[in-house]
Amino acid sequence: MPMCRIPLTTVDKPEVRRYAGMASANDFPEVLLAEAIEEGLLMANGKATWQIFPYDPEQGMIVAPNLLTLQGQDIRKHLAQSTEVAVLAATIGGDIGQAIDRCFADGEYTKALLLDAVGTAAVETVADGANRLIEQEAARRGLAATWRYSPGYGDWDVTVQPELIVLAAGAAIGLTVTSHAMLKPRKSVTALIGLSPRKAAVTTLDNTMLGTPLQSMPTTASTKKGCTRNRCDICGRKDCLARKGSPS
Amino acid sequence: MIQLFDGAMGTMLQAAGLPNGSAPEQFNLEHPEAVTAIHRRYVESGSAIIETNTFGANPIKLAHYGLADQVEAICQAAVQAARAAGNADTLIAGSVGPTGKLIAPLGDLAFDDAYAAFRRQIAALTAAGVDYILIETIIDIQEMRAALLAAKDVTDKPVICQLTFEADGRTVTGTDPATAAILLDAMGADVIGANCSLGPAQLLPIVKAMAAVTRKPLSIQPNAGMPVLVDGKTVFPMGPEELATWAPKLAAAGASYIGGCCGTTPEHIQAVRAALTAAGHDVVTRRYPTDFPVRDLPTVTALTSRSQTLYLGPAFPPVLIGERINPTGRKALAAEIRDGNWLTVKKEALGQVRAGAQILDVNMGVPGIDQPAAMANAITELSMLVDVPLAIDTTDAASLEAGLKAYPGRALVNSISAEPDRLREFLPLAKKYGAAVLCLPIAPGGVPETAEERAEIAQRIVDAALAIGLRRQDLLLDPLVLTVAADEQAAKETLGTLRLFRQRFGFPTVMGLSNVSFGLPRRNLLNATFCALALDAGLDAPIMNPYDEVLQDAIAAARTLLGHDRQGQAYSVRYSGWQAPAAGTGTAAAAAGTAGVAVAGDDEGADVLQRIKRTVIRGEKESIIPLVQQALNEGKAPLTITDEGLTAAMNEIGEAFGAGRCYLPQVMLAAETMRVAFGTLKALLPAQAIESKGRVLLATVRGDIHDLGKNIVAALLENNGYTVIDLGKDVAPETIVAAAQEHQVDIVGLCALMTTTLPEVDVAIAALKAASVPVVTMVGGAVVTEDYAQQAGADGYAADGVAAVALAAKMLKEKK
Repeated sequence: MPMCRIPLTTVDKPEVRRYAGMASANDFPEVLLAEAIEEGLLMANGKATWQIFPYDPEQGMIVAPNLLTLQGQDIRKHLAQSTEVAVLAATIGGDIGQAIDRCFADGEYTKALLLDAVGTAAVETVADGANRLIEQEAARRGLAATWRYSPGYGDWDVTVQPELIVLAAGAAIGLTVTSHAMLKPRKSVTALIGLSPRKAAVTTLDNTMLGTPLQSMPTTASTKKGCTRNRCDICGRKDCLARKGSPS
Repeated sequence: MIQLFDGAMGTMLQAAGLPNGSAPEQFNLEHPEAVTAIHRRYVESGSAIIETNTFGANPIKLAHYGLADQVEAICQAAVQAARAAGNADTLIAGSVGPTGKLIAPLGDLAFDDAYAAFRRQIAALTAAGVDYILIETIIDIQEMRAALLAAKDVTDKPVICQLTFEADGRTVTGTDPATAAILLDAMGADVIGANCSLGPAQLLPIVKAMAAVTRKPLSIQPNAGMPVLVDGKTVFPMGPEELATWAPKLAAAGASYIGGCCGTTPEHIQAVRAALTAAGHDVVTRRYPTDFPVRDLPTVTALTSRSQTLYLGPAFPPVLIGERINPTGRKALAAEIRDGNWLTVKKEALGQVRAGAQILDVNMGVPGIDQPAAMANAITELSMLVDVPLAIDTTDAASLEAGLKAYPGRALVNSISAEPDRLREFLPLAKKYGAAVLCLPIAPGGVPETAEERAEIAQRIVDAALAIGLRRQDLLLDPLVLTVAADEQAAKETLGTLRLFRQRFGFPTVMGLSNVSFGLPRRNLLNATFCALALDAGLDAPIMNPYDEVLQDAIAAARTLLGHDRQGQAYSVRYSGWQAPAAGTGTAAAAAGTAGVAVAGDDEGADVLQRIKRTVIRGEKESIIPLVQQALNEGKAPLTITDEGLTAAMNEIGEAFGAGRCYLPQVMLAAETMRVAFGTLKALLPAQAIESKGRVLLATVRGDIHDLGKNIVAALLENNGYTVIDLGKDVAPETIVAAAQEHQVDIVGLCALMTTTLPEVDVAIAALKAASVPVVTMVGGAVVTEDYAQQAGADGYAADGVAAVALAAKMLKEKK
């Protein structure tokens, strides 16, 4: 079971702005945002764990020691081509949640709100980092990875969390799930990444990708590929403040 | 001139009958003849160097097969099998692959355990008689460092270090080829390169990147293209001829060792040899050739982190070294370090980087603690948090080694004086770990006064460093900074030393600025001016407080004046639109803007209530207190201030939010300002109760641990004049009923985030109704909708915090 700490040297500022519900606000003090990101990074302890299992797309079944049949048309459609799935769990730990609570208690509402957004962006960054490791490992075996799909997306019910936590061995990174299927610590995610045989069209994978400027750490330089695509597309909440491309 | 390696081993072993799931290395013991047969095919195809079947023959990997005690036997058998295949000229490279585990802190394998595993395998391969050690397919620079350190300790054979890069040009753990090559070169790798994961097309730019930073021979072994899965089998699609067309390109880019990795066969190697020969390359079969074409590279000094390279020297702009991670004279920081608490250290790291520091100096000089452990921990924490290179600032050899070992990059050793102990202990550590060295010209017998004396001592350190094998690009010089208050010529002597150093050595120079101003007022002005003068005299990297704006200004100006800022662009970006700070203006206020509400106009002279309103809208917490005081002084009643100033502001910003003209964080800023204003009123007039608009109980329902939305509602209601009883999160219905009765609230607000906790809203409302508590209920939360609220029997639904405030007002009006 791979388990690793993911370095968090920065989080994406536009993502923080989006999660704070102000993607298009241009008159918010940058310094508050920068301070919240800095403070959030201090408290974030990025960890991820995952396990890879065979997957039967016909039955929508993860072939693990405890067989898991996926309920939900959207997730099954997402994995229709997959022959294996990586079950991923990622977290930044509980410190940031406690800090958010303290800020609210102390009347530092804005900071609380911004820290919450930083936490969300940070755990996504950690998941991106693990996603990248899974993709690379898969590529080595000639497999292509789907983008990351979490419970709650589309019609996939979040009540699957307890099973996913077990499959991902989430306990190794301190993850638990409540009776109402909520992850603890709060800034945690689980997801499935489908793996399928890569098509033989390899000529497109030349050095085009190497032409791009080298980024910093793997996690912070989120590969602008599958793992960071717009997941808002599949969400029905059109009025969400954090929706990508939502009207300003 | 090219040395030709062989191709893949694993697939050929499978073809030779290696059972699925068994250790390929065990084949050396059980079927040495089969292994020899594979090697022989490569020798016959023209391979000059064949690689032993020992890729996974380290004790950590072999333990998976219960073979951890067979390391020596396997290595011995593998080398024998290879020897048996070769002719007189064939060279044997002992293959050393990864442990399969990530090293701490990324994973849970201790660096020392990785080192021990590699040490054992490399010692075994050396004893068995290999010609090269080939560390290959390593995905993490720390694992490569552990293996290379082990190799340097137990073998005198040349060491080839090949990392594996991904399609984005970095290793899995984030190191780019140039950064890796600079570090491995400094650590004493004999050949540097890459293999696996990518095809030749993707490896070409990696060869180029390495060739631009190291004179060491480069070794490249691509896969036969990117793998695809066909009928459940991993297949590498690139045929011998296609692979071979890339070989001359790789050679032209700087590779002198070429071979094949996954998916390559004897046919590939044969084709590569033919293509290289046809392109005019001399494909040699010769023992340890040293006459590879030398790349003409300037000798430049570079430091690296795991993921970045930083250059220093006369050809580059000045570099800022942040000095703040140092407990000297900082009791609180020293106490934290003693307790193993890294919060302030990490804060200083992020803060200094934000302020422009490009290197962070790390000093753990707290008396009475385990300094090596503290240094290792600090370096580990910082390497997870910042991308800039680190300088290890210590006078203790054990701390230095602990820090260097933990650091996944090329650090700067700050510093080494000419004292015999220092030279003896520190220089070999710098060499071993590939660090750069700051030479401090202090010798036994005191501090040299003149530039000439300093240059002479520096020369002694430089000689000692070069004698133990450090290179010119490993050395930096400190000119010594003494206090001008004690000797009025001190600064001039330092400047003179800088000039002399540049003329005599040409190494990058580094110095701490602040000593110069000791004992004098306005030290930062002296430091800044001294820094500007020093930059002209040849200083490359001041060690300084990056938060010092005067100093930063001086450096920005000096960079521009000294020709490091083309057309003054960086300077322009930094200062265009800059205004001298007026006395007493809050910076946050100036930055806060208008939160999407029209509040233009000169505040001076406006009615104080208007100014309170504007200040709340702008979220200017600092400015609200004097305004509230002024309003009271002018005889305004607290209720007037609340209604016409504060509440009016919140109404306005609420409207702006509803209309999409401003955003939630701005609303929260306004709420914070309201809170300060209420606090001021309460403090100034403790006797006068400010009338509550109503009592609202808030709770996130049972099972729900996400309370951000509820907290926002609470903050907004409270600062709009409501009394809020906040029961927190995961609140049982009976608790809600009891509290509603006890506090005689007017409204109960319930929040649920997820579909799993939504039904708890119904349960709570039903419980309130069953107990006939005389309240109205409002609900909200991510998954709650207007329809759901109605079905659940709630009296109202609020989509967000601002809506909740409006709804509360409406509900109370109707109730009355």
